[in-house]
Amino acid sequence: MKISFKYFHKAVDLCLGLVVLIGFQYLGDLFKNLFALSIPGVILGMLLFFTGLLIIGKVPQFLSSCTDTLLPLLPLFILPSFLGIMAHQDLLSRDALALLIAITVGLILTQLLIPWLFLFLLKHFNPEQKKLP
Amino acid sequence: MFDIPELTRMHFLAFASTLLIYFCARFLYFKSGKKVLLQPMLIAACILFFIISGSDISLTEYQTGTQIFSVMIAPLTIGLMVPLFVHLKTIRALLPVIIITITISAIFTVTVTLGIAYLLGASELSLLSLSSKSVTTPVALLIADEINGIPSLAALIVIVTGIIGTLLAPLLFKIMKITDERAQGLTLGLSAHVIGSAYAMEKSSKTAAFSIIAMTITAVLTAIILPLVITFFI
Repeated sequence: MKISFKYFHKAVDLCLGLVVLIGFQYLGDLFKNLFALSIPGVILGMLLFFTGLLIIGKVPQFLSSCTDTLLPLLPLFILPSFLGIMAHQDLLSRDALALLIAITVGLILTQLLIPWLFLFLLKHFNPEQKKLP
Repeated sequence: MFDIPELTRMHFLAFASTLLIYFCARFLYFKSGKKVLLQPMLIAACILFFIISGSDISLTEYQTGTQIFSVMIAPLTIGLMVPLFVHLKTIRALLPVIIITITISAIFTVTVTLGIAYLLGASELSLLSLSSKSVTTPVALLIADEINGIPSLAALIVIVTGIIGTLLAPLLFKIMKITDERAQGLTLGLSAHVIGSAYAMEKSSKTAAFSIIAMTITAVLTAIILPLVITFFI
């Protein structure tokens, strides 16, 4: 009987990747408690993880394999927490309209600002153009 | 880490139905040609909403059964740094300009949106949950938890923002005649996070790269600044 090792490697990558990510999650929590910061521990973990990647200089193959597989599934993992909204139906029906208007108007103004700001900054402080003689 | 509950048939059903319904919704989303309105999470949530309110399973029972999913959020949020790192390598020269743009725009969008909602008389809890609206969902859950908002409401606001943002952006690009792929990517990533990035991926890889960079940097910046600002004011 021939056994394909392709999926075996994938599973090993997944486990190793998760071990590293969970390690950084705990490191972040540790930092938060150590210095009594108001930043969520996971965000500290993200920053530490990013520093780690900067030090190594590249993403290890097993890690990119792990995140490529699991990141598209993030909505599935969030789904149960999202359904907690069922306990807040009163608040939602009270504020839904105000929130919807605020979001839409806010979005239009932001989406007008960002391209203009980016292109404006690019025109005045473009690092690529400064390099040219 | 957490108590492993006694597994009942209800818990298993909750787990299995979530998995099944989510993948059906995902299939529908891809089959429809990635229609923005048919977000798999939103469709699955609607179906599960009716199932939970129709059957005699309680919400806490459902959430205990699906705890295994929630546990995965934190490590994967840290994993979001991998795509950021990969894409940052391609645009190192533009980084200062991008960071300035994102910082100003992120502060602007939160201020304007909160201001309008406050004037329209939204309650304090809703305002707190609204403040993380330009941040990708897993980070919004964290921030809402940190500043005592409602995580699930924050998630709903984030998804609605993403959908409206992705529908509005192409129209505004057309009206303002913005053809620069980098500016389009930044706008999509900052205002519509994951849903905008999925849309950007269909346009070009450059738009997608800028979109993912904008989304991740916005998330990290907001998560650092917002709790400080909120504790300062309240």
